[in-house]
Amino acid sequence: MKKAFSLIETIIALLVVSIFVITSMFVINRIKEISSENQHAVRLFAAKSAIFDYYMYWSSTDEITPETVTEWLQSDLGFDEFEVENIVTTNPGNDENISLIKVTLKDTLTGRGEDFYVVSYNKP
Amino acid sequence: MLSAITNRKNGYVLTLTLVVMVFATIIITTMSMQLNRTLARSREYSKVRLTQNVCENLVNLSTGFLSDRYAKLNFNDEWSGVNDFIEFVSNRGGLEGYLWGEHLSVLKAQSCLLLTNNLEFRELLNTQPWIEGFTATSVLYESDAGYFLITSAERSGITRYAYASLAEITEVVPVLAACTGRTFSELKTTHGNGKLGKGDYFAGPVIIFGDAIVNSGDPANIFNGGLAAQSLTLPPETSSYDYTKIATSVDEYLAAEVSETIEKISSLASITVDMGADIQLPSSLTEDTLLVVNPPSPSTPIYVSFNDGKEDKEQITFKAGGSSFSINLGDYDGVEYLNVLVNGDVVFDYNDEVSDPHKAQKVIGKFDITVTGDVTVNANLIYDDLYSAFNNGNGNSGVANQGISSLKDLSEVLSASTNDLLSITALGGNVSINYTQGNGNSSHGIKTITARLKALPKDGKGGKIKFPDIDQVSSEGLNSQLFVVGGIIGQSIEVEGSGTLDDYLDNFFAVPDRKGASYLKKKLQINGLRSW
Repeated sequence: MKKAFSLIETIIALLVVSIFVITSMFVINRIKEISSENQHAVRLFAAKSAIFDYYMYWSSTDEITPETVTEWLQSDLGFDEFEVENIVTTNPGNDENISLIKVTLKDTLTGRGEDFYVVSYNKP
Repeated sequence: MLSAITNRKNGYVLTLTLVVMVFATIIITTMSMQLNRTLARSREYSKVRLTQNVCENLVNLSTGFLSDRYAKLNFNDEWSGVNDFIEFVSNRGGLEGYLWGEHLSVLKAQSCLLLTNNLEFRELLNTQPWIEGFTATSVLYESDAGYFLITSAERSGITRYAYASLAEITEVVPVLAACTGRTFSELKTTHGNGKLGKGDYFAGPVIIFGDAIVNSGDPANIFNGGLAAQSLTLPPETSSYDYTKIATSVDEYLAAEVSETIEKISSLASITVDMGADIQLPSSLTEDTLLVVNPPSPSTPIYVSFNDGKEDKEQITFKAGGSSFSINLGDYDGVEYLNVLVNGDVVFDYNDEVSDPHKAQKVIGKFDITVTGDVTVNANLIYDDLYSAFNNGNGNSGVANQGISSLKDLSEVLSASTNDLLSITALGGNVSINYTQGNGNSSHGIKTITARLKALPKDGKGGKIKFPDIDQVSSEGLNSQLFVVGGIIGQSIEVEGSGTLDDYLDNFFAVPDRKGASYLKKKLQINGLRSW
């Protein structure tokens, strides 16, 4: 008579495989989640960089409003999930040559806002 | 299923299961490692980009800080990080890195301006929220082509750099900015002999606050430096012309000029000279000082003249009520141009007894003269380099006896360059330009003013450019001309008495005084920015 697995052994083997499959599914889901978060973080960072460059190479900051930047971000660059909530411009040291721009970028998916700063040299 | 299991060879399923599990484990582990690596790279890239942003912010902050100060800075500092910077840049990007390295190899540790050592700049920098946690450096180098600004920022072992090429730019000074009733026409030669007929020529920007009326010809040949106007009326033969349509009123435009003038004279240290019996000349003058000249009495005008003709000196002379004094710029160290404020009326004439609008005064040097009263321009004011274009040397007389009579003459004056500069601003006063002699009515009908002439209204007074006697000019067959090298800015340009400028002025020429640089107002421009 040939040797074979007992029922108990088979059940244990199936159990181990099941645990492995469940764990794998969890890990894969987690990987997908982290990957998605990372992609989102990269998009947020790309949107910030775009706004940074927008100000850095724009000759005048006078006509830039949250609405115009949001429109530009969403329509021209495809960052649909972001909007510029607020822009505050000051002149450090009361120097009219320099503008310090505080931009609040809001992520509409998470509802979180993030502030960052751009310094612009007001070209004569 | 169970019978199948019992019929299998010993260990076959276990082996298969283990192989699948090992394979799956390898895949999942690889995915995890790849993801971790991607996350680490993203975080690192974010940190690097953030540091680069700080460097770029620092470039803009430094340029803004330097913009009004850079002319007075000394390049005596030492930056020990220059070799690290060059090595960092050279080692990146293959050929590009090599070329950058070659380009930057001229930079030395010495002979730079370490801006982050400047107390005022450090105070400004410390107020910036984006610099928190970073160690920042900003260094300025001077070169023949302009300036190089290098900034670096370091945090948590990450160091990044930005490099900007800076250059001076010239303020756009219009050659004409006013409300003017002038009807412009294209300059034409007559009889095929190259002689000029009626017409106007502007080699620099023109701003007309109102309707710019072109009577004949192509506006492109009249406004060679471009035209900005509230509206434009074209002659029938011209269908279109591209001009800049403006909504700015003359009052708004001049209000900005007034603010700028007041701001400038307020920022300078005053040295006062009272005209009278005992004149004390200033012991020192710099470009940061303002020579304030007070007349003996408010009603006594001060006569201002320039080079005395004996030798080519950078000289200005003030005469009033029998007293006079001269300033020779060569007698003072460190003064390239002289800032003057005259509290009263000024007449530009060599003689305070008999006016002579024929006289051609050589202007040698750089003078910025602000007058709180009216300005009368009697003599022709002509930069040294352009003098021979308006004086034919006949009779060795120092008068403007040669006008622009041909396109060749015009082209010669346009191509001439000069180092001299004269700016005359009537702040709250009018500017009157005279043609005829006080002791007669003889005139060549030529008026040449090489200056930036401004009539700025203040407190409801002044702002007009006036021609009191152009209707009495005896031109001896020559066309009456006004030739301006620099510019004319005012609320209006008008003839006193009857008639209009069109009736008496055949040629109105205006060309810029500088092709590249301005000595009175310099600004920095960022030509290029690169960050690593």
